[in-house]
Amino acid sequence: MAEARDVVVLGGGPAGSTAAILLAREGWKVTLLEKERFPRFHIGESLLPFGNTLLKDLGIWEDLVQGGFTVKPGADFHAGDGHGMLRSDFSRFLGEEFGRTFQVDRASFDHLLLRKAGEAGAEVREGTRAEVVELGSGGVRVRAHGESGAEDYEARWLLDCTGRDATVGRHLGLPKSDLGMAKKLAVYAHFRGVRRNEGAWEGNISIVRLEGGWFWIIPLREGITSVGLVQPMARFREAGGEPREVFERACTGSPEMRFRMKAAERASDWHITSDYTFRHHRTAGARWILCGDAAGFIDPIFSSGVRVAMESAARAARLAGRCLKEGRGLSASEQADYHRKFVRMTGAFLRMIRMFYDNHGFEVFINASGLLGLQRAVVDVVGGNTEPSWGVKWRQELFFAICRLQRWVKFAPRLPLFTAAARARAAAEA
Amino acid sequence: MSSIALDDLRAMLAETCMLQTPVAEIGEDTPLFGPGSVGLDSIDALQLAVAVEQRYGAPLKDPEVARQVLATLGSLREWLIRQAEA
Repeated sequence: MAEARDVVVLGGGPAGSTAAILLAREGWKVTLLEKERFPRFHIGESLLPFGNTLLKDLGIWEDLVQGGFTVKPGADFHAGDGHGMLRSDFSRFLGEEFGRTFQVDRASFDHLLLRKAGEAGAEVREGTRAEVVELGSGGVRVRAHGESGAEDYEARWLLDCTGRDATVGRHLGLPKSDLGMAKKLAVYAHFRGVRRNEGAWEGNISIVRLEGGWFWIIPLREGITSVGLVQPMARFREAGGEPREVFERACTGSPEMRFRMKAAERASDWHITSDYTFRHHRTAGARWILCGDAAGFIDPIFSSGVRVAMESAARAARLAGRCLKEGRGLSASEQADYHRKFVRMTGAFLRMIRMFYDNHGFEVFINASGLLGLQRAVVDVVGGNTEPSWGVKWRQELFFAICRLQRWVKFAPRLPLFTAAARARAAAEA
Repeated sequence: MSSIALDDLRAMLAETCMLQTPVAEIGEDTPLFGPGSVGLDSIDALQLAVAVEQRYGAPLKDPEVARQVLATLGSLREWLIRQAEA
């Protein structure tokens, strides 16, 4: 016997909870189906300050303050050999509202949000895996597999927030693109005793750029620090051995990582995740919308995951809410508009991601503070602002132009990290 | 655990280089070289490198490395903390 609902939300991560809170708050009958039981471990622990407004709107900001989550006042980028760094101080460039945000262990953060969804009036079912039965023009049907067996749900709307499971994308066989990004692997764990920044910068995320990959260092609560290595799949294969051995060797090979990890002790299991960038060519239909990773996953270097997830889910919730009120489905132009906005938002990060992986681009980036105040151009995106003001936008265009020219004209001083590697390669060939 | 005060670095900067900017206005991430910066030149860089070696015993011989390390007082400070523990 199928029960009728207004909205069924698949997935209880930040996207799913955001959508469920916003829709349930308006009085719609919402059911959220989450395959796991919370709290559960998840990657993606650094928030971006331009997501603050939504965190406050959802009523979770105070919980983060009270919960003692690490305050994140900025982001540091280091050259792995210890020669070169860029510190992005959010409060200096982005003002009071976006001057800081939080580092969050996702087990707690996602659980907090999911509880808010329940408090807002959504029916939350954990330990329930869902499959799509039908996506019609007037409504949807899903089959939920919970502890008490299978159960069918009917709803007028479906929001797919199932992350990289991409339930609807797989069901429909939606075409997607890898956006020209290489397949990567992340290997990571939680540690104690990782060396943190001194003073006011203790809560910064630190990104350590190696010649062929990078580490994240995210200071969490209670002395725990999340450390992960991201490298192209091909590099892991070349290096040989277990991914954790590659992690350990990469640490030993980088003076910056040796300094950080000198007294580090592992405090969790090792985790391995594939980082395959993709974006669906279509992200909405008459009665369904894809949110966050279910619509597209982009390289995690700029911590964009939670921001994109929550922002797209909030947009999807507004659209679904409006259509519910008017008793109709999403028009073709509304579907296209939602997709365009998703592409624009992920596109802003992708541009920075491509710059980061390009050695010349990274040289300009890490020296940005000394180049005509170009730091102003990048801090906005580092802070998660994908729709900056005109004054920032033209600086960004200048920044990316200089990144392209750096190959021929030395705007920024060469990074020893890259020149040393080039010399070593030349010597090996000779 | 070593700590290096920003004020000590400011004082070293003021003693070593001909500054156009009041030293108190030079923050942790104020660029020292290049357009829109404090306006130090290559001679200043050389003198600063010598002063760093004398005071902290950390040699800065490679000009490419020096360019990165001396970009701001903040980057110099972070580098010195690491040298002290290497």
